[in-house]
Amino acid sequence: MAAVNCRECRDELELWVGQAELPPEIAAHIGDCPECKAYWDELGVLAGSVADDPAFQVNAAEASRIKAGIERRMQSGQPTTITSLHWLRVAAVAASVIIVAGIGITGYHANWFSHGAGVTDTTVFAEADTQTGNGAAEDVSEGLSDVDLSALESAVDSTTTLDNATVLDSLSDEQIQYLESHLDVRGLI
Amino acid sequence: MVENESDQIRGLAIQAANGSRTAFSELVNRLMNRVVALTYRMTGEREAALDLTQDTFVSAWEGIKNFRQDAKFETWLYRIAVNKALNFIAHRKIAATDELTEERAGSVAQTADDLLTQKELKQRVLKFMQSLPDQQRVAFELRFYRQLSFEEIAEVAGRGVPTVKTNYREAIRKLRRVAEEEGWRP
Repeated sequence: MAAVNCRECRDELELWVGQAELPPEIAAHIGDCPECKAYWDELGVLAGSVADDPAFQVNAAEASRIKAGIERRMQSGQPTTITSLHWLRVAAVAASVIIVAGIGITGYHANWFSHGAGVTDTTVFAEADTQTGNGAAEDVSEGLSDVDLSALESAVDSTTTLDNATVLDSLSDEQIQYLESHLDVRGLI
Repeated sequence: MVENESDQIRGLAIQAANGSRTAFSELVNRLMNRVVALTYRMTGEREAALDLTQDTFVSAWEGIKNFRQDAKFETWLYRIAVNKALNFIAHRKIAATDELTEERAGSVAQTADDLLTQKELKQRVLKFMQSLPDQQRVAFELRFYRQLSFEEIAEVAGRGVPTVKTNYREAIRKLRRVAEEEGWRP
């Protein structure tokens, strides 16, 4: 490569930030040019401000956990993607939001047409179960407390900041299974 | 003649491709920290990084028979890790600062001053990395922290070399702006 001018040199220097060695022609230029040398030194300071850090390494417990997980999944021969579980949880919350929204509408109409005021949330679930022919789910719906509903309603009201862990933690496994069985949760992923 | 680390890794990868779990375990031991750091800086979330690291190695084991033995194993592995990290990022709403307040300092004994400096440094890194568009983040991670050539980064990212260079240069310029705005010192 021919001798470089200052502009070319500085453009090239930016590509070598964080690297141990410079191309010979660039190294030669900054050897003769105090301004470009100063720029290279400034880039060096910049590199130091985001240097690699031991905090990005794993500690012993984390390393054991990762290795054990890899080993287990290699032996099982059915390595599922762990991170897909993250999206399953997100999708489960999304499903719960949808179902609560649906329940709200159903409940509103149930109130309006059949009972007037006073239809309970459990009644709405039972009614929905009758329509879907899912008798077993009725038992689950009876377990849905006001706290559960409140958590779900909060999720509906704050769809931009869903705290899926909080919502899911407030539900039992059976209730989550109920939600999953009524919506193709995996299909949403 | 003593083999360098890259040669040793290549040798282990060849053994693993021939079915050696022992060799693959050794690869996990040697490369785990690099993959965790990569996925951590890419995602900004430590727990996600640990899971993504596990996923990366399991995928590597599944596909290792397809690993070209003339290729560099680290580059091949980084491509898997980068794709998984980008896939993760694409599926979430980024809460860039979530992890910044709940970090563990690691297992190395340090003074209080060291810990403060380290925490500050890590916060800077995470803040900066999360501020970059995905492809600039990939270029910066692989070039600055992993010391890959632009040709290798292009292979990992599935982009042309000129594009990768532009992404890296833009990331450096962004770093200059952020450092100036934030008054960072090394």
